[in-house]
This record gives sequence, structure tokens and C-alpha cells, in this order.
Amino acid sequence: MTDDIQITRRAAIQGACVAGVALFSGAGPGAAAVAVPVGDERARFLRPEEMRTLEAVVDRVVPGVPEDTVPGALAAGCHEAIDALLGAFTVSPPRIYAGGPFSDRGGSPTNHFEHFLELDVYETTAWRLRIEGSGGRRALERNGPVKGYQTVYREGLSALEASVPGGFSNLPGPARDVALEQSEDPRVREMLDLAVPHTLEFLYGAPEYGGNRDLVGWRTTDYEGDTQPRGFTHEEVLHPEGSGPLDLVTDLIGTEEGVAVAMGSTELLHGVLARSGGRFTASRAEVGRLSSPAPDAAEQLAQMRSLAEELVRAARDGQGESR
Amino acid sequence: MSREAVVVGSGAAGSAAAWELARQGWDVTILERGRNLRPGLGEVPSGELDTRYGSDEIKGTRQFGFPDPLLEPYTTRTQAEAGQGIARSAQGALGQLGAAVGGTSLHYNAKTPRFWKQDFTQLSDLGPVEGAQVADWPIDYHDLAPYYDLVEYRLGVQGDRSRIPARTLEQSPRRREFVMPPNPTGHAASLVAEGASRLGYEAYPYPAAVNSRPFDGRPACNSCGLCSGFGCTINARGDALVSWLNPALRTGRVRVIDRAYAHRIETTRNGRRARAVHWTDVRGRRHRLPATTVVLAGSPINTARLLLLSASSAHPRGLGNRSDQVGRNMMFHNFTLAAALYSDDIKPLRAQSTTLQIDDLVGPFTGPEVSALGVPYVAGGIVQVGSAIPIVGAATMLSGMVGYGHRLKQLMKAGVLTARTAGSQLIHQDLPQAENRVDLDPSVRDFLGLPAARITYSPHQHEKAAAVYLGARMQAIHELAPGAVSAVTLPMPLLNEGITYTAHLAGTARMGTDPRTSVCDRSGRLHDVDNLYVADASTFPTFPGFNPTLTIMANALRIARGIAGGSRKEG
Repeated sequence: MTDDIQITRRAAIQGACVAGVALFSGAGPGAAAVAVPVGDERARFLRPEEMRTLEAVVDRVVPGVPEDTVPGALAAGCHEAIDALLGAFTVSPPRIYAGGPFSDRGGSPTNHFEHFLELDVYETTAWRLRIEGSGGRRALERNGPVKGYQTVYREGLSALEASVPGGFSNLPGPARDVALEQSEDPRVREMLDLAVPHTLEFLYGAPEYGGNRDLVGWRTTDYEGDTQPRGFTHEEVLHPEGSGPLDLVTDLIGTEEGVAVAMGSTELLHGVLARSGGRFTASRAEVGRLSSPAPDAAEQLAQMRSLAEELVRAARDGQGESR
Repeated sequence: MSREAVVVGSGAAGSAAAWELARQGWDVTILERGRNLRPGLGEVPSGELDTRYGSDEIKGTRQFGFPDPLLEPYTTRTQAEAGQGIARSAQGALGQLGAAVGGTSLHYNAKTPRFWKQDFTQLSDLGPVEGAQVADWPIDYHDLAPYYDLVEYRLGVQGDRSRIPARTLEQSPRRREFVMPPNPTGHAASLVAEGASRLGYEAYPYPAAVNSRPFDGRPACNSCGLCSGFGCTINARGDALVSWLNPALRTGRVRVIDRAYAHRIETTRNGRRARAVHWTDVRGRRHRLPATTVVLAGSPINTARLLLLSASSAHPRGLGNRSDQVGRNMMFHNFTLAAALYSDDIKPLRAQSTTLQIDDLVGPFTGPEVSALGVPYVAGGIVQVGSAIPIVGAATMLSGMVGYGHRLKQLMKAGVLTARTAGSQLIHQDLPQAENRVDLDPSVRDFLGLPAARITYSPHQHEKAAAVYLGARMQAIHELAPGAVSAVTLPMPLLNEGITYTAHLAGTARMGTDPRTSVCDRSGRLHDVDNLYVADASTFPTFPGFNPTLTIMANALRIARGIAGGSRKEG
């Protein structure tokens, strides 16, 4: 079914800033030309040693080969995408919003995503504040100082690296998991609060932001990606051919993770993002609260489930009778 | 009388009102806090507009087309927290609607059910509910019906009249067939519909402002599935911008000023007439726009905030707030979410967002099972059947549940949320409460230095009872879906004491006949100010469980027509 996604083999996409764009032609027939920022010229902020620590972090958020059979966040370039976000304003237009309406993955001859949008004054103010922090400027601190992403990453990565004798980035994967899990350093936790959602965003988001290299995030999940302007035919909608059954799914039943299945709602997603500000610890707390309700709510939920059981039983009995 | 108006807000209400006023020869200036994301606006026909949107989830994560929570935060708290004197328990994006020229409709789900006749007479039909301010509307279904027809015709609403259940047709009679037939039904939605039919429930094609054939110079939808939260990249969706605002701008009688932050309405000394709207641009420069008619359409939280920010010696508690009702009765649609889990890949994202609707849970329900829940009745809402969320959202929710690492990766590879889930949402009616309200935060400010809106909200006991009663039915529907290996239901009113995210907001400036208990009269005009109207969902006295945009547009057209026709006498 992945034929639906036209996967063009291409040089690693590291982003599409105007500065330092070179044109490469795709590898096979029909592959679109892709603008790739060259080597050192992609937007960047972190120092080489900080990048090494960041690589070691994103590799734990979504591990790759050999621990798993398919690549993870490191191979997808999520660390470089995060660095490019931190350096978003070193290029013009800033790498905040990819262009539109189409990439070249759904039949468009041109990839509009590659040309990032010009920001207006409002968006520039908001995103500089978010990335660079308020820096003591009173007009930006009406509700208190804002610590920018750059500072959060820089302080957190350096504290994390130093938290382990011999350096965090030199540890093998499972030991890094433990170090991350056990770190109580607020600078590390604050960094991880950003690094986890950023890694996921860049692994599973459009590759023009610098991650999801070779579309590994979509290929490994059978995700159909951005399909416009082609979309789907009526036949593909009415009678889809899926990738087949998967036993893993039945593992979920009866587990607390099974509850997550009902969380596939746009409203709920935006609620969790709004309440948590997109930060990992806060969104875990938010989702956790929804899956382990307070005692009086638990009682009402039990009541709801027993009513549901009656309804299901009656429906099944009713059908038995009518046969 | 001067035939010109200033409209605050260019979303569903503001654009529809501006279109109607322009059609009647009025000159209109619209102030919009967001940016224009549709190049060509006002210059080319709607079918030729470009878009800055893409099928790009990261843009959504980064608040593209939304207010930035750092620059324009809202603050929130529950009723219990308010009772303890807690000023706020959250600050940021919670409760925010879109901010762009065209408003939230740029990335809405485009579902367009009509409200029902019974919704306008709830107090008379069902009696009061303790702790709630249930009210009849000062208008009825027949007042809106011609406008429903007009909105559906201009947006290009798809649907199939022959498949609408008898009770729905009786409650929301329609003169015309839909503009176009429905798009193909999603496979996941069909599976859930089969489960519902085993309970005797009837799923039918969801009326939607989405092209199933070329219309208005715009193409047919191709079921890409990235609807809610995304601007339609191929321009297949009817919305405030393509259907009302752009045609209005092209008459030459309407202009829109973007990134314009309205912050005060100036009145005459005695407070009886508005005479100017004060706004600030994005660089903080102040502007004064003289006005002979003012129409507020910034959505319920912002409309209430603007009225409260406009307090003066003639209106010490806020403009038009003699009744102390401005900002009160803030209503949100809570959702009960249910999902069926499949071991098969059922491709839930391959469809025009949600393709089917069920009305069997609208109610109202009474009887022993309801009384046992401690409420006089349960008012429900419609069910949006069978959908899923795209992949970055799925990763966010799953990492919230299991954290990061190997387990998360396996769940993502399995496509648990993107491939093997058929999810549905029940839209709960939210009863109006005096203590669910918008006021001005005592210390949090926006980037221009103005007080942020603060929302105090908790669901009423009715919402909790409805969640038990209707949640059971949602759970049963999904358990009975053929092939489902399991089902889960999350009734949000039981799980959340504060506001959950929803793009459905109403209340804060309710219409009514009595100036002591309402803010506006039936024409949308403030009881206390002669030339100031509210045209958005702030005017809704109650909030039935249907997607509200169609009714917002229809009511805004009705109010605008009244303004142009000199509705003072009707008032």
C-alpha cells in the first residue's frame, strides 16, 4: 500500500532556507528536483559538543537500528531539525512555517513546502520571544520573563552531559535511558520537556523542517503522508486496502495504554497541547489525569460501563432472536 | 441614517454580516486581529485564491493562524478554584479560537447541521434546571430557516435529504434539497455506523460545506482527511472567507484591516450611542475609527472582553452590562470520545474528515434511568462518526500515555491511532451557568498591555449525568462495530473539571426580551446602547449539541438584515 506515497530517493533534506540553497536533481525518473541547503549553510545554533549530546538524546526518544529493525530519530535527522529551529532566525525567511499548499509528494510538480513563509511583525515577535527569550526587555515581560528555547537546550544539554562521569553521550543506549529517567536536574528536565515533543514533531512531520529524512517517520508507520493535490479516489476511500492485521494491537486491550485509543480526537489533542504548552511532563500529566480519573468520576465511569454492557447484551440477544 | 458600519472580527459572524450589509449598499470596515493567509483576497474570485496553508501538521503545532499564547494569553480556572479565591490555574492557549482573516472557519471541520425547533423553547418545554440559567430564545427556528437556506446555498453544502431521519426532518424542516450529494463515506465511519444500527440508531451523511463536485469555481474534495485544524489546500471547503468575505470585498464597499486589535468602544457621554472603535496596530500605535453602527463578531470570549474593556462612567461595569450578564453563561461544547480498536488497518484518515452523523442521542431524555442520575432531563447532541487524527498528533497523545522510547515507537509503527482506530465524538449540550463566565484577568496582560480574558468554567451536574447516560450508548455503539477488538469511551465532563479544548463557544452576551436578564435584544442590539450590535455566538441563550458555524452565519445574516432594514422598531 505504500505505493500511495511516492518516495523519492533524495539527498538528505536538511531544510529549505533561502540562504545556501542548491538544486539537486532527484535520483530516478519522475523524481522531483529538491532544494537542499548545503552542509554548513543550514540554519544552526548549537556548538558541536552540544550537538553530540542532542544526538544522544533524540536517539533515546525514538531509538533506531540495531535496537529495532527500522531507523529512528537519529537517522531521521531530528537533532539537526531541532538545531535549525533554534537557529531559525539566522536565515531569511526564518524557518518557522513551511510554505504551501503542496509538497511534491502528492503529485505537485513544485514543492511549495521548501520555501518558508515570510513572518509578519506579530509572528516574528512571538517566535523570537519563544526561541531567544525575553532577555530583560520590559515590553516582553508583562507576565514575567520568558526563557527561550536556545537557553533551555544549551543549559539542559550541558548539564546532562556533565551529569555522568565520562559524559552522557558516551554511554550506551540503555544506560542513557536510565540517566535521563533518573536526572532530577531541573535544567535537564526542562530541556527534555522540549526535546521529546520536538523530536516527535520532526520525525513524523514534513521533511522540509529537517527531520523525517527519507520519510522514515512515515514509511515505518505506513502513514500516507501529505497526499495533496492527488488525495484519494472514491474507490480508495470506500474500499481501502490496508496493510493487514497486526497482533500487537490485541496486546493493548485491558492495558492502560488501551485508553489512548479514544484519544484520537482533534479537540482532545488541542486541549492537551493548550494545557501543557506542548511540554512533555505537562502533557503526560494531562493525559495521565484523563486515564486515571478521580474516585467520584471512577464511580460514574463504572456506572457508564455497566449501562453499556446492558445495552450491548440486549442488542446481541435481540439479534439472536431475529435470526 | 448613515449607511456604514464597523465590524469587529472577520470570522463566520463578521464576514456573513459584512456581506449582507454590503449587499444592501452599506460601507463596512472590518477590524481583524489575525493575518491574511489567502493571497489574492479581494482581488480575484474565491476560486482563484492562493493559500498559505499546507497538509503540514507542524504548522498546526506552531499555532499557525491562531493567536500566540505568549502574546495573547487567556487565563482559566474552575468554579471551585474561583470559590477559593485562586486567580487562575492555567495560562496560555486554552479556549483560543483561530485568529486570521476569515477566522476559525479557515481550518474548521465544515460540518453544518441545523439546530432543532426544540432548541429555541427549551425552558418552556422542559422547565428550569437548578444551578443553570436555561432560557428560551427570543427567536425560533422559522426566524432562522430562510437564512439557513441561504447559508447552505452560498457555502455549497453537501448532503442527502432522503437519508435524513424522520425526527430530524420534523425538528429541522428544510425546503430545499442540498446543493450537492455527499462525498463517499469513509470505511471507518461505515463500520461504526453498523455498530450503531445494531442499537437501532441511524447514521446518515453529515451535511458539510465541502464540495463533492466543482462549485463556486472551487474543486471537489478528494478525501485527503486533513481537515480539522488544516486550511483546505485545494480550496474545496466553503467558509467565511471564500463564501462571504471575499465576495463582499469585491463589491468595493467593504475593507478589512488585519492585525487590528480592537480594545475600546467609545460612546457618547450618556452612554446611549457608540461613536468610535479604538484599536491598536501590531506595533502598538493607537487608532480611533469613528462609527455610526458597530457590530461585534469577535467570538464569545473576545466580544465579552471588549465590552468589559469598554467600561466608562456611563457604563461602569462594562459596556451594556447593566444586567451584570456580560461575560456570564459562557458555554463550551464538551465531548464524549469513543473509539473502536481494530487489528486491521482500516484507513480512518481516508475520508473527508467525518462523513456520517447520528442524531439518536440528541434527546432530550427523561425517565427513571435519567432521574436516577439526579437531573430532570438529559439533553444530548449529535455524534460525529468514525475518524482519526494524523500522525504528529498521534505521537503526542501516545507519548502522553507511555512516554518516549521503544514502547512508543512500537505503538507508532503499529499505527494504533492513525490506522487501526475508528473514533467518534458526541457533542454535548452545555447548560448556561451564571458562574461560568469571562472577566478581565486582574494581572495577566496581552502584548499590548491590555488585560487578558479570564475564563471561569466547570461543567454542570447535567453535563456529568449526560456523560454517564450517553457515554454508555457511545461505548455500546463502538463495542458493536463489526470486527472491533475492543472499545473505549472517554466522557470529558466526568474527567475534567475545567474547560477542555473545543472550537465551539457560545454565550456571554445572550439575547433575550428582558433587559434585566439578557444583554441583547432579539435583533442583536445591546439593550443599553442604541447602535451597537452583537452578531456572533455570544448571543446564543443556550448551546444545543450541534456544530454551531451554520447557525452562527445564519443568525449573523439575520442580524445584519435587521440593521440594514432599521430593526429598531422591531427590537
